[in-house]
Amino acid sequence: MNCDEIKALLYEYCDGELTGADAENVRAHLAGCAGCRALAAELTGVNSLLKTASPLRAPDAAVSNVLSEVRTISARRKRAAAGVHWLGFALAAAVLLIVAGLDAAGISPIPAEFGRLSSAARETIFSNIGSIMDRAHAHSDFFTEAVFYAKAAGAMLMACLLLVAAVEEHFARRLAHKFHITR
Amino acid sequence: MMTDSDIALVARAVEGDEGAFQGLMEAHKDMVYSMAYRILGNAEDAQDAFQETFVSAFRNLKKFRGDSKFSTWLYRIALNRSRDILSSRRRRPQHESIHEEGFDHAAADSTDAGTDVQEALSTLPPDYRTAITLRCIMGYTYDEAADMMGIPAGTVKTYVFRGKDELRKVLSPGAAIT
Ligand SMILES: [Zn+2]
Repeated sequence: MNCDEIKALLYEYCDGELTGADAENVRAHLAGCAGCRALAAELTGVNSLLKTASPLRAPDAAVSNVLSEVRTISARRKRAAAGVHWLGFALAAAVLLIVAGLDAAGISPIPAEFGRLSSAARETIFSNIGSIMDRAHAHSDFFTEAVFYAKAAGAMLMACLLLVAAVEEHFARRLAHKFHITR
Repeated sequence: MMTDSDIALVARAVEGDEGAFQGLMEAHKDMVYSMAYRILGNAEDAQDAFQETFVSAFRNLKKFRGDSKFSTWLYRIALNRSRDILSSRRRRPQHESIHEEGFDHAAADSTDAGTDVQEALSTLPPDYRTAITLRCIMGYTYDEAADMMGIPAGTVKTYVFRGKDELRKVLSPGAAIT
């Protein structure tokens, strides 16, 4: 083996990672070649310098900065989660009002097409809604929070409008009844 | 690297247990900081990388699937944050603040000749420095280092050897053989 071939093996040799015939060849070459021996000594010097690199200790300030940031994120997430519950409540109220309103107006609230769907198709629709919600969740906390509050506000607005409409309808009927007006 | 307890802690932290996350941080903080410091070469940048790493880990904990060790996942984030900081601050003077807080000089981080490891590392290109940090200082196998760096193990090996060759020239300026 010539010096170039030896040099290619020398890094692993100095790391103690070379075994068998290769290690034996390097050892034999080093015994007779002062140049490669000097190179090996230098690489060994590099290795011992690297061994002096001790693990460093993370500064306490960095640790406490992270912990306070984590607490802020946690609190924001809990608020967003509470927003989800509130949104669910508002949506349920809105749906009830829509159903009640449509029912009072004599319109079937559930499209007949939906009833004709197979249960598998309905299942798909519901699971798609679920995965959309999950994806919204996977986004940043700010985005999640913003989307949920926007949706909740929309749902509340819708619920209020429906409530007003239902009340108006109710009083219109009573007045009509009282004055024997046929609508 | 306490993998079993890591998995339990991750599961609890995902459920919102801040104490569990604190436990994960306690177990890995010094390794993350050391890695960032060796790659970035100063305490200020290392602290930024450290903080961004753990905040990002907390935000994305749900995405940790457990198909690698938690430490590998975490150190990969640390490596990416360190690389981002390195490329965004390349215009700034290098190793300006090697002797800052967090650098444990009592631990004899130098040879008898007085050569500072960090100073020597700072002379290397970032890829060589990263490979040497992971393999020779932190003691990862070539495969683990390759996994973290997102390159083949053979390339990590090449980086380590080339990096050592450059260090050799820095440490022995009068070297007869190149
Ligand atoms: Zn030779």
